Amino acid sequence: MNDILETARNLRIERGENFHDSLVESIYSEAAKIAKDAVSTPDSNIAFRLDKTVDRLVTSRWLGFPIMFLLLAVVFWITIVGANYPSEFLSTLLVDLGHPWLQGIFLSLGAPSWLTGVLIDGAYLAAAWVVSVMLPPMMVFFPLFTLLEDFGYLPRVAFNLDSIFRKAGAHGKQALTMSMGFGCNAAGVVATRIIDSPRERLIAIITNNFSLCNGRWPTQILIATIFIGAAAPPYLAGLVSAAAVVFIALLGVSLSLFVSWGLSKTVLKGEVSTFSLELPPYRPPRILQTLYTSLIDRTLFVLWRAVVFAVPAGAVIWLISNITISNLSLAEWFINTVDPVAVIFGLNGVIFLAYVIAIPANEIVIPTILMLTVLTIKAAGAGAGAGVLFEMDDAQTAALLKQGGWTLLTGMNLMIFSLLHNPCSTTIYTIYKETGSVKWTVVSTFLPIAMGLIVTFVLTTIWHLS
Amino acid sequence: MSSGACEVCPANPNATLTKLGVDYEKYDFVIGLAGNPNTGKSTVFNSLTGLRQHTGNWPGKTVARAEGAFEYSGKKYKIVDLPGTYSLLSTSHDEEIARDFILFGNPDVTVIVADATRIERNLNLVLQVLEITDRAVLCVNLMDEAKRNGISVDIRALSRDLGIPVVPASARRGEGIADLLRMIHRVAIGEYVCKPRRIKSLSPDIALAVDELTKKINKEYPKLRNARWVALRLLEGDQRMIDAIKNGEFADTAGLHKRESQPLKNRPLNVNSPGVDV
Amino acid sequence: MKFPVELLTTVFAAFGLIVPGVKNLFRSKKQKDFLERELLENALKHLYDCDSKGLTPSSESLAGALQIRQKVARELLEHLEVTNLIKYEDERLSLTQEGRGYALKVIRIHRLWESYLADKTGVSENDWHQIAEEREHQLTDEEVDDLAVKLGNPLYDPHGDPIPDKEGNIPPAKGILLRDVEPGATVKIFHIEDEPAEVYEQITAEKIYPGLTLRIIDNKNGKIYFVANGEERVFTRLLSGNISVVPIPASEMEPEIYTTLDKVGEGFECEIHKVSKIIRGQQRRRLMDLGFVPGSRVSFEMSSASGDPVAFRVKGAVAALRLEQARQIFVTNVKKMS
Repeated sequence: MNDILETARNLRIERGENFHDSLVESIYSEAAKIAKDAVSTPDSNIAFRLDKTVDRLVTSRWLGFPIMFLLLAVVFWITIVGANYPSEFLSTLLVDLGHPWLQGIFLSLGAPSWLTGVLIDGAYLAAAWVVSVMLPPMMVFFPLFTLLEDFGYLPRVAFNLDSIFRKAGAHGKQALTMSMGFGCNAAGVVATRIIDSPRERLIAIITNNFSLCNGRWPTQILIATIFIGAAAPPYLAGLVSAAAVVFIALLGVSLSLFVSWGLSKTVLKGEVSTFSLELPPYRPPRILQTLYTSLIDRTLFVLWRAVVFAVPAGAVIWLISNITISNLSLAEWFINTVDPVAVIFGLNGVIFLAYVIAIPANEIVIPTILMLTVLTIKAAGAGAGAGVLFEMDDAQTAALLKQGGWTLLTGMNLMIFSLLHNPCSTTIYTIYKETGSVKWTVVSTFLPIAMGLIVTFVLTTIWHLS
Repeated sequence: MSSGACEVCPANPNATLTKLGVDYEKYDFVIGLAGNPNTGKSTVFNSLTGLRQHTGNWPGKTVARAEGAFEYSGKKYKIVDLPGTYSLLSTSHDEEIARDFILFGNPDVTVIVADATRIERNLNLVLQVLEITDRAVLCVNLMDEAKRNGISVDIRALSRDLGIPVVPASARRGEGIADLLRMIHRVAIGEYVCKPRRIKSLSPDIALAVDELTKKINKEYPKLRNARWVALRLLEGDQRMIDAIKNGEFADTAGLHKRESQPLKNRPLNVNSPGVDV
Repeated sequence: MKFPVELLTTVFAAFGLIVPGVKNLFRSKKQKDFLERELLENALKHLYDCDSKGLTPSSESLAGALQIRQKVARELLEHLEVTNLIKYEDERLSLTQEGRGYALKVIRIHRLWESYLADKTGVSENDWHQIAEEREHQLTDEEVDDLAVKLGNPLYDPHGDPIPDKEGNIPPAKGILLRDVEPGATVKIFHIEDEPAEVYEQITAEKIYPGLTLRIIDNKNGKIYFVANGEERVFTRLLSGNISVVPIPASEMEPEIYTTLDKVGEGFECEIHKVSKIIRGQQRRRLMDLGFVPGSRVSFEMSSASGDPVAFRVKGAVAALRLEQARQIFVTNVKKMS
């Protein structure tokens, strides 16, 4: 027995270095012999002709990148437009009808008002809100993305973009996890599993949050419309606000590359190791199978985590708005305390508090801001009551926010802060699950906040100087 | 699913398939499902078990192994979907799972799924699996894609050269699954005896070393059927194999202890960044 | 305007330091223990080094090697003697059995960590030694054994130095120094000494690495002339004295004519001659798994929209590589495809 191990060791000392190479070479030469016997491939012009034509197009020097951007743009456009209808339906069902109905039931059972508040106005409403605004875009985005994946296009994206990511010290596959992040950061973080090297994977995880996710697009569009678009001449308003949103998204992409570069030069040092990737043949995707699996694997997975976090957060939102000390709610105490600090960054206490308590999902940031604004300025007739989330149309929102002291600067800073702040709790939890490390979870959480505060501070300072 | 009329109908042997999903409390046989990434391995797994595993066009996507079950011709089968790998010789986590399962998990049949359009590259893994196990079935999947590209695969020649049953399939369309089941069954119950091809032409600079070590292992464990694989792994310094020798795991007459390998959970990312605090 | 790279790097470094920095505030005691461990282990390494070179160590040599004061060196030796790691025989200082075992353990960690850096990370080889110098004092026995298993129990580190096993057995060192090789011989580099760092950097800057084949043209006037990767080089005795080589049999000789895979473009195919030893560890295995093995026929398939990476058809499949990787794959028989 020990003789075997002893012999093995001695043979390794003698032969060790080249053993693996020789073995693989032997196996492959045997494979070649068998394949020669059993497989007949026609002239390479016939085999994979279609694949080659497609490949020539999607990797072409001139068309490669435009095709890629066009495809991604179409995916996002379909997502934003397509999600509207189911979103309205769910919102009507769960918020407009479901919420009063549940309130009614509690009332008829004689439940104390604080109980109705915590459970229905707080927990239920937050969860219902998250479901109705989060589910539809994901239902559209994930299947589309999965179709591209199954077709075999995504490996080509990694292939095309690798050179950019290599310069940032990252891996070409990060292009995909980044694109996935535009749909949902939590899903983007899970998708980093496709990156082999732990170092590059960690870079992809930490920087995923710089992709503007589905939950943040509506905030960007709303604020861009009511502050930036409104500052431009009316005939340019639409164009200017769209440009502002695209600018923020591109800023996110550049920061993602920049932070990757910074990490790979410092704490995650190490030159980019390697890029060896099989480019699979194109295959017709299976539509139904894709719809089903992406719904199960990605949508419900992410949604469930979001709801789990939304329920307690909803309760907290209601409680801090309703528990009062010396006639001021906890929320107001907090807002008044941090307001002087927030002003340095061109933001305000309401925004800070909203980002703290709306951690389960970026989707509920705007309703939370509206509710807190009504609470602090005691706007009569507006809103649905302390701690109850609500929404209004653009004009009303603009009016309310301006009443709350918002300016063009606040709007711009909110757009930046919406890009550069901590990931939502679902994503944070997912990062922890994937890395198994508290340290890297903390870094991924606080690095964007620090960056957001720096950028807003600089912008505000310059704004006040000029 | 199985109606009385069809059970005896030879034209549709699929009729005796009962997909059991994840219900595998008791089973008669264990099947390991191996294959390169991108070969439609998950589609095969799903058609057998009725589960819906999704794996994309990426290596390393199936991080944890998935298990399912089905019943065929009165026997219950548990099937383990191993991570898609190009090889079993490397030190990566995926390959370790696949390798250790085939050797120590002691599956009754190992099904290898290969891409008909990329046979040569896939044979690398097939030949490695055949070094380890005597009972294997090769499923040449994606025959429809091969056909579309004018590639023809001589199934008989493959089967003759490899010494195991080879089944052509287009799993996405459900074609070939019935044949695959029949072959799995025949190999499992011992009706089909495989004579797996072992790598003949080891390059001369390693052949001597491998032979010397294989002889020693054979002498110590005369009943071990994959002594050469054990030798190959020892020469690569595989700790699992060194431990197996030390613990006498190969002493059993069956070649290996019939021991259930531990279910492997999704291992968290090993953040071992060089030069910084771990 | 020049991009303020250094400033930005510093900012990032500061971010990186905050987290461990805060942690360190709470572990000053641990930190102190750690420094003691480092000192002690470096002392053992020095004594082992003297031992293997046949030199007699002393408190002076120790103070010099560790760059500590004489007084500290003497105290350190006293401590080592009390803990039974060293002994004096006829006034001559040497390691005890335990001391030797301990020293070998530290060396084992050092060399395993270098193997880890080389095989599993992209860290520049000039940094391997320094990082391993720190790491060798931090790993626990279990971590070391895990690391060895993960790397497939390597016998030699990336410089070609033998790695002691768990029991302290050392694989034999091999080779002769490059500066002593006769003209006309063909040799393979087996080991490159990584100390002093300046010399090592000069060698690596010339793209000279273990596993590389050299054909010696001449050896005169304190200089050695040789061909490596098709290029003629001249090394001083200082450089060539830090390189150990083994003669290789005629069957393993390099062919004189080959090019690299990155030069194979649209419409061409070729046969792989070998994959350079510069590609190591997991990367090397992955390339081989994809079919880049000697003897494989490879044809150019396409280049990406940005020109790098490029994709090749190999073993009936399409695999993409970066140009810098393709540059390390030597090919022959380049032919235009019909």
